[in-house]
Amino acid sequence: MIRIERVKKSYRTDTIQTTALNDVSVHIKSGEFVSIMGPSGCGKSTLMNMIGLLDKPCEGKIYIDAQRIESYNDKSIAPIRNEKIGFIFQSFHLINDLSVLDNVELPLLYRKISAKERRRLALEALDKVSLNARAKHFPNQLSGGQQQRVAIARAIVGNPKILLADEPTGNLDSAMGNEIMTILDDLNKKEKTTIVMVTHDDEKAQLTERIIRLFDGQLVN
Amino acid sequence: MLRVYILLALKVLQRRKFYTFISLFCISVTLMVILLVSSLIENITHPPGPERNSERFLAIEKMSIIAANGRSNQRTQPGYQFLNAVIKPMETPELTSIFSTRSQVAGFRNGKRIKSQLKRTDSQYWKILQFDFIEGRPFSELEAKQGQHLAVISEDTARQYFDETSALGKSIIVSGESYQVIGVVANVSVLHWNASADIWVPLFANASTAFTQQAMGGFMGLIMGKTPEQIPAMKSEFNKRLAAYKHPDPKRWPVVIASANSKFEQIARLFNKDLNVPPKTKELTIWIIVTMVLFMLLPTINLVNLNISRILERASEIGVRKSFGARSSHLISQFMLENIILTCIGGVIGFMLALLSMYFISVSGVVPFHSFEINFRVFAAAVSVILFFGILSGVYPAWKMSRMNPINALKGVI
Repeated sequence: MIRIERVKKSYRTDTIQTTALNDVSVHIKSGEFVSIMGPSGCGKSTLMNMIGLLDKPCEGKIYIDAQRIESYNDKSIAPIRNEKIGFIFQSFHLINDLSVLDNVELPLLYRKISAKERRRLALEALDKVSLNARAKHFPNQLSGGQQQRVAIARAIVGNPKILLADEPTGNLDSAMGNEIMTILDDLNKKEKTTIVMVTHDDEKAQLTERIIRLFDGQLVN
Repeated sequence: MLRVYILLALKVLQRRKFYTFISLFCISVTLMVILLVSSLIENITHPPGPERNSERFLAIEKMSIIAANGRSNQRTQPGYQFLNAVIKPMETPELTSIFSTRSQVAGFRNGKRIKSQLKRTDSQYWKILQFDFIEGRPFSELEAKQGQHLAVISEDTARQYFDETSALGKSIIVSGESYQVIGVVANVSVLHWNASADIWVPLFANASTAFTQQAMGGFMGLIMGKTPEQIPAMKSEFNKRLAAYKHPDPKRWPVVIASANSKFEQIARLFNKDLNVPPKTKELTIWIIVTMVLFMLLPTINLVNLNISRILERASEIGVRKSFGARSSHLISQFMLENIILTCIGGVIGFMLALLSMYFISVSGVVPFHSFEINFRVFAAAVSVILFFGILSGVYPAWKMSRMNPINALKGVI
């Protein structure tokens, strides 16, 4: 499903060069629930961004569904992000000016789908996170846990095969965090969605099938 | 998609009310000024009212004569003798008219002085210029030739002399001469100077006929074709007859220069008095366009800045949209649409402000008897201005936004 081969990434400022990833190879199979762990600055987010096609490696190859995509331009990457990948962020990143339903519909705006169908799919996604009743609410009227559930609904509305969750429970208390983990687990088990989750929380990581540990931009096994 | 974009655009406008106010203020005030100016230009170049046939006529309003030694010259309005010799025999125009320029005259009513502008005209004048007669009629060819003491007066003059009662058949005494009123016409804006006056009397209703011998001074001519297409032919015939014309004192004044000008050329002549050169209409057009564009550029630059700071506040949204598969083109069109909505709102306000100020200018009498109108051309100018704003002030910020790196946008690092 996702294959990262000997990827290197470094950032250069005027004075120093920082290596974020150094010769990292990862293979994530379809339907796997994987967590990425490591201390701050070890390259977790960079690896996540590579998988999510938000960033490009300096060296190495990235395959998604056997398709080599690291050299694709913005225009060709956009539909892959739209159809194959769903993102969940630590700070939710919902658009406060839009209702819950409009937020969930967002990824579908970039597909050729009728407004009616968009609405139906968005309500279906909200149903999976048990938030249909809040469709007309605005994000700032919801609790943190509810907002993250809306974000999950937004991530799954387009039925992507891959879910990328960047510390999805990082901003939540443990009860809400557990709720989110249950939803992700359900998606993985029932819908067979491949999930890659970055986390600091060892306990949450233990709930996943496999842990990828990074230290100073390198894999630790 | 459109619904969401419009909804978002309206929400964004409510977010920073001061920014929104400044944006709308810039757009609406600029549009108001542009509308006023273009309405004025439109009104002069394509006048409504009596000069509504201006596309078909040419005016001869200035001439100059140059002495044999080339050193001295005179430049003034044409005289009756010149116009009678040059335009009256012309064959291409359907109608030709000779009339005096406006002169100030005074009349009295109950011991109170009434100042008016008077024009002496022939009968064809009334056929070329389409006055709106409120009552009565213009004078006929015979009446004009006989120099009968008849007068057509403006609505405003009628009110000054006779209050609200009918002026027809009554007499007015101006500059010591008595005239019987046979017609009352709607007031004419001073900006339509071929037609504008308060009192019109026959050319020959004048004690002296000495003016018929004078080559220069005090008169204007109008020549009108059947269609606007006849204008070039009329011009060329005019030039031919002008070349053949001899000043009554040909030894002293061998060179006579004059030109027959369209309405726009008449305006261009105001800026270029040398009759030897054709009126600089192209330069005037460019000058008008450049001035308007410069006038619009300043608020546009201001809007670009405002838009950029507004966009940067929405970095997270841009990051999310990009992560979920929005292409640059999606983001550009979203932002352009939002900006066009903003400019349209500003446009509507500007339009209303323009209508309001047009009303106040008309009522205040700053430009006597002038009433502003918004016709299709002025409306089209307004729509172009709105699009100019919407597109120009939106395209750069939108492009900048679409190029944002999604990771940085999500982190709020720009």
